[in-house]
Amino acid sequence: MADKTFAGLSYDAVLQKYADTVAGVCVMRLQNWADAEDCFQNTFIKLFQKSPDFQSETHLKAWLIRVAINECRNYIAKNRRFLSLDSMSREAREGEPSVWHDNERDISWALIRLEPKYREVLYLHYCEQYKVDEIAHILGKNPNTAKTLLRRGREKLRKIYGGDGE
Amino acid sequence: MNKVNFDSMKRFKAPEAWIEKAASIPAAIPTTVLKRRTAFPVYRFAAAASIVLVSAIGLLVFLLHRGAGELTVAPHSQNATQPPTAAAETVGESSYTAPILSDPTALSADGRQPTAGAAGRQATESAVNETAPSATVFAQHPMSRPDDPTAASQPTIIAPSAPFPTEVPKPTDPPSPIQPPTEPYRPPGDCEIYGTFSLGTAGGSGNYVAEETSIFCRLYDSSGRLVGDSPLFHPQREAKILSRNSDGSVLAYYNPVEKGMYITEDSYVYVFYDIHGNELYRDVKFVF
Repeated sequence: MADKTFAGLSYDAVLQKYADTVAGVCVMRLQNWADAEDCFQNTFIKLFQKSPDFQSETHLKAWLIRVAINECRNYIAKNRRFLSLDSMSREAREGEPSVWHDNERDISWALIRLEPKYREVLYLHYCEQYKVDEIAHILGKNPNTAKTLLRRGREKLRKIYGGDGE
Repeated sequence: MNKVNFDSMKRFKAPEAWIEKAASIPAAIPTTVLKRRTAFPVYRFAAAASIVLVSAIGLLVFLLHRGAGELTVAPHSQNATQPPTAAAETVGESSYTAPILSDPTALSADGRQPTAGAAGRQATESAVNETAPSATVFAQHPMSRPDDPTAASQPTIIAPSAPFPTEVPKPTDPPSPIQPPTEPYRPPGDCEIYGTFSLGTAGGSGNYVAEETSIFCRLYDSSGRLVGDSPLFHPQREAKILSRNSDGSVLAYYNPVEKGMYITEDSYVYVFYDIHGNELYRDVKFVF
């Protein structure tokens, strides 16, 4: 089992390289650290259990993001919890970032207030540096749809955050 | 107003606890779980096999029922579909086995005797089968079929008991023949029939053979139906000449019960006739 490889990488190497990506997607989706951790663990459990054949690391990364999003959707549908902004402002747990830079916190706070469909696109574009076509492929959407979601997400974020943005 | 810097968005850092916990997944997942994942989906195979089995059973049942439901035509029913002869067209006969309806000389209910003219000859010709003893005699004396049997010298009286069809009968399954009793029924009364007549006198026709020795007898019940299924010149209908008189007359004897016919208590009209079908003598006999 320890000899399993994923796109040429060992399991531990994959974990170290893409843990932040999977965690960010889960947090963006669920807006809750505890729930995000469950989906984070489930994502890597599925990676180890299914062990699909990846053509490249890009394929592996897209697969991880896709699985993380699906896990979050299943989690929401199962629990039917209404996530609130208060869950993000509570006292930091063990392992959670305790210090927020002002700018990051504001952006994150504003991002969380967006709808999930805008949130995912903006996060993947600005945080993971994905292009529109890649985002469309990961989310299973039309590229024009992804482009439209990105544009509208920016407008909404601008309204929430305020000010003249890019 | 704050300026929105989208590039300032940073990736979330996964907590170390999460990473450590995820690193222990390979050791935590049992091998049985992994093996079960690669196991062959038995339920899929069972579902496919059940569908194939049900389809095969249904097809087999369909083929079996289709084979059992096929109807075959009885060989003897083909005779009923044969086109009737010219005589049968007039009187409705379809086979020699039922000469009752085809005999234009059949007696009516009031006992009037029909003519033994061309219509009578025509009826007898149509009633002859391969076992007729006088087939060669007919070959020597061929008879022409009348165009209209009703154009005989005297009108033919048709027994009203059985209606004659005006068109070719449609082929139908023949009725199951009634098995005659092994022993002929012997009513309390006698069934012997005697008749004294001259061979030189026919019942209305002068066509006869003086030295003819084959004499036959046929019976009609009170409803006008011919008794017996055998042809008119079958040995079953052959009568005996007990004696010959000096004036040329003969004493003929006939017993239908001795011949194996089924006779019930009834009044019968019996007719003695020669090999040509010429009527020689007729009378009424009461069997009781």
